[in-house]
Amino acid sequence: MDSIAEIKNLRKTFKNPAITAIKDLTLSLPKGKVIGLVGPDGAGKTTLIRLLLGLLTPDTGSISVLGITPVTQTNLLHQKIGYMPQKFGLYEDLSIMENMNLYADLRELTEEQKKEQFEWLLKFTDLKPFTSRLAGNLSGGMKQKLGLGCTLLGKPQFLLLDEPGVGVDPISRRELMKMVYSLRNQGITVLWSTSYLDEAEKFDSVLLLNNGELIFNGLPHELTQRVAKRVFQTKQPHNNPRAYLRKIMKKQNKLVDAVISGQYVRIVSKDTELVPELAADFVPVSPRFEDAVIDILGGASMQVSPIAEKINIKNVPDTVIKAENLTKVYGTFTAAKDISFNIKRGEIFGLLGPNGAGKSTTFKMLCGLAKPTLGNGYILNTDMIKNPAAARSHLGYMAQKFSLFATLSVMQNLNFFSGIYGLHGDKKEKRIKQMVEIFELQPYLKQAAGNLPLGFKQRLALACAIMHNPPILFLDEPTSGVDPLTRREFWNHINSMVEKGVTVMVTTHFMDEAEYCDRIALIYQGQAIKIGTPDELKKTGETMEDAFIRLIEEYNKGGL
Amino acid sequence: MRILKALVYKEFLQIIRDPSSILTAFVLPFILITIFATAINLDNNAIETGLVIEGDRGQINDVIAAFNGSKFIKVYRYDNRKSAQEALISGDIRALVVIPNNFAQAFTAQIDAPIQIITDASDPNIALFATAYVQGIISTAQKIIMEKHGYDTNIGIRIEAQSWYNPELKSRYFILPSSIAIIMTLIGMLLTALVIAREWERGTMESLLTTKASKLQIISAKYIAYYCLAIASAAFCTFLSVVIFDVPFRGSYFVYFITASLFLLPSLGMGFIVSTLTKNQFLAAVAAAMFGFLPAVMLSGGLFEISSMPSAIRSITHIIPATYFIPIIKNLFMTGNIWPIIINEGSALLIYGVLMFALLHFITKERLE
Repeated sequence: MDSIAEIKNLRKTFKNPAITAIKDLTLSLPKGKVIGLVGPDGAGKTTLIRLLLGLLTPDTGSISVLGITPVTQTNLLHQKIGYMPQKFGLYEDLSIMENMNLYADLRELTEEQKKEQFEWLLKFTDLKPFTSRLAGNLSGGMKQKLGLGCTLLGKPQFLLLDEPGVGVDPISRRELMKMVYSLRNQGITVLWSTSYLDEAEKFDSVLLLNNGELIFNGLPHELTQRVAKRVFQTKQPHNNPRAYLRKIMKKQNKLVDAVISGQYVRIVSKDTELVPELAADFVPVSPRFEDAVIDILGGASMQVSPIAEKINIKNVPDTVIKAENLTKVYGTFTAAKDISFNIKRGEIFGLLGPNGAGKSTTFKMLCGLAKPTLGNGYILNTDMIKNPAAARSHLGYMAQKFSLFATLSVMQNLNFFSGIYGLHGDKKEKRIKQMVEIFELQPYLKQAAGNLPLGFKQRLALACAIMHNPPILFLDEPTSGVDPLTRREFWNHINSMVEKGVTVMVTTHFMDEAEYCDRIALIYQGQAIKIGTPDELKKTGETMEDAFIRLIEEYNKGGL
Repeated sequence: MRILKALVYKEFLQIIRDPSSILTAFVLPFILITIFATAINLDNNAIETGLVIEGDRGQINDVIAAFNGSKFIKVYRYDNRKSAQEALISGDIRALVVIPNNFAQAFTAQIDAPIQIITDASDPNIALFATAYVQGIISTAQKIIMEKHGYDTNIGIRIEAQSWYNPELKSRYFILPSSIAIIMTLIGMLLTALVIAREWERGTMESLLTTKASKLQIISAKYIAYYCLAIASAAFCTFLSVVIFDVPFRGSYFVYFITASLFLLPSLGMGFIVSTLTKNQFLAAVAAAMFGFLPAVMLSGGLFEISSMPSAIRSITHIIPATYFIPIIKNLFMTGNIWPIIINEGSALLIYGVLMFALLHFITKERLE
């Protein structure tokens, strides 16, 4: 098979902060394929793309793209490839047409070429009716299409897309994938980077990066194959899948991975044969890409989180969180409309939906950071509008990107957060000591929080959020960009806490994480278009993403 | 050429669509010029001055009349020195004139006639003004009296001060031209400090770098667009000064245009350099204010004389572009085309500007490291 790019012994380090982004990478990218570059944040995906483009110079090793050396023949290379950086690289204060004109001129297309390619692109991207609209006023999906359109000017042979799916709803993402495949059918090679493992199965070929190392290079089903016949799911739905999960996790020497999927539990075993006590309960199911990734990374930790022993939730009513007709209007824009739900004690409640759908707004209203225009929220029967501070005192909050003080040490962060939650004296010291023990932070106490490995950052953020022993935990996209093993560990802690009666409200992008929830509210265009258990949302045989897209499409049809 | 044209067009569109650039280029200068023209006033048209006459006032009525008739001071009469001094201490008056007992006799006898002037020198400016005003009044009075008595006023040595170029000594006349230079520094640096950082923040720089556009073209396009905006802003400031605030302009507008353009070269360059180095709009704006605007206000010689600064500070003033432009613009407004200054300082600006462009070109990378 022809290759579009050849990489040999590539190594790239950065000085500040000192990291090795790419470690001794050797691979060849097949021509005429849609290649997925898959890995968590910090795996080296963007660095690799920039090296291929000649925007970065390798420390050692060689790269050849279309037979061209990127660093020395940068201009020649740029004429033959198209690149869409993260955030799409569009000028937000320029209209669609002005953006396209600019990029066409910068590629020195003739007037004829321009006319021909514009016509084709506007049709291809469905943007024709909007050409005079400013790029800044487009939806995420439309921006993404325009970004793709601009990179296609000049008919590149090789397209590099850096996380085109970020900030875009799954429907637009699917549409983009379709467009990319039609480009491939015209002979264009595409490199698409993503941190979503569930996207990997859709690519012709996959490069799996972790910590700057290539873990896998080949067809996605080849990787999935390695766990064939080793993936099982419970026969029966369980009333308390978390308790069941905890029980079977004790068979750790035989399990690679065990997660909750709605009311079922999914496991990846080390052998194709299950131990007798499990064999009766489980049936084999088809493996997923992520199962294989966990397997190749050495398996998830099967340790039961020690957190549960240290938690003591008392005197909590059955209904912990109540949202009553929550509505938020910003100017003429209704960010959230008439959202109502109740969350019971010890429940994990997920808010799911595309970016900008109103998840964060709903979240903010329920923790008193935004005042509802209409409706109200109650935390443990405390009125959120009348008494937001009292209501908030029942919450532990973990924000996106962890919101730790990066320049303070781990100990200083723990001290600060325990202080603002009103702990002091012996109680404070005792609690900090507990947290250090549970999350095994001892070796890191003096290190600056910003320099911690990702997994420990997450542990520290969680430790800070539960410092005051809150009966309720709010998690705002707690795992975005985090590698699957670290995510497993995080959910392990959360599950233990929930078993002890902690109530959790969580927003997430990951469809498999939605399966960990007891109930989900699907938020779309500011409304909760569907609330139910994961199994209620899914039709038989559907994945969560399928269900998500179907529900939104059904809603769109009903709405029209 | 086509790439450059497309980039310049893009920059102009961005300028027009971004209200903050219009605000910075026209509204801000309007506010600043108005402040410099009206609020910052180094003139003292009426200094409160106490007057104590210790002797017979009959013969010095003319002197008193001269005091009362002056528009530069406002006279308060006191009966004795003690109460006047108390008023001076309490700040009711800024200066005190004491005409002693023997003044009238000495005056008419044409021997030295002493007058005491006590000033509140906690504001040295006002103290100097007051002294000068009182001296002026006395000598006027002297002249009138001598004419009255039939003395020949043409004998003896008289000092007649003439203030060239600014006969009325209006501070606005020299503040406004300097402030145009300061405002141009601000516009030139603040606007430009934001734009390259913005391209980095929004990820568009990465896109540009993967097109055919070279760094020379990317930089030049920004120079062209922001030069046009800044020169329009300068024209607007000049219009305000000359037409609205009646500051005379005695030089050639063509020379003004050329030298202002030369001045913009280093200013724009410094803004772009700050922007490229920080890659962050907020940092760049703060840096532009700290290293651009403040030194231009304090150290360029626009408001404070460079020759009266300590020598260490004086050497710093040489790295501020406005230092070279202020002598030019001051002379163009108040004197006319003074070629030695225009040529010397103008070529300094040109060299400075070229150096800045070269430095910018050097630090702009076609890669991301």
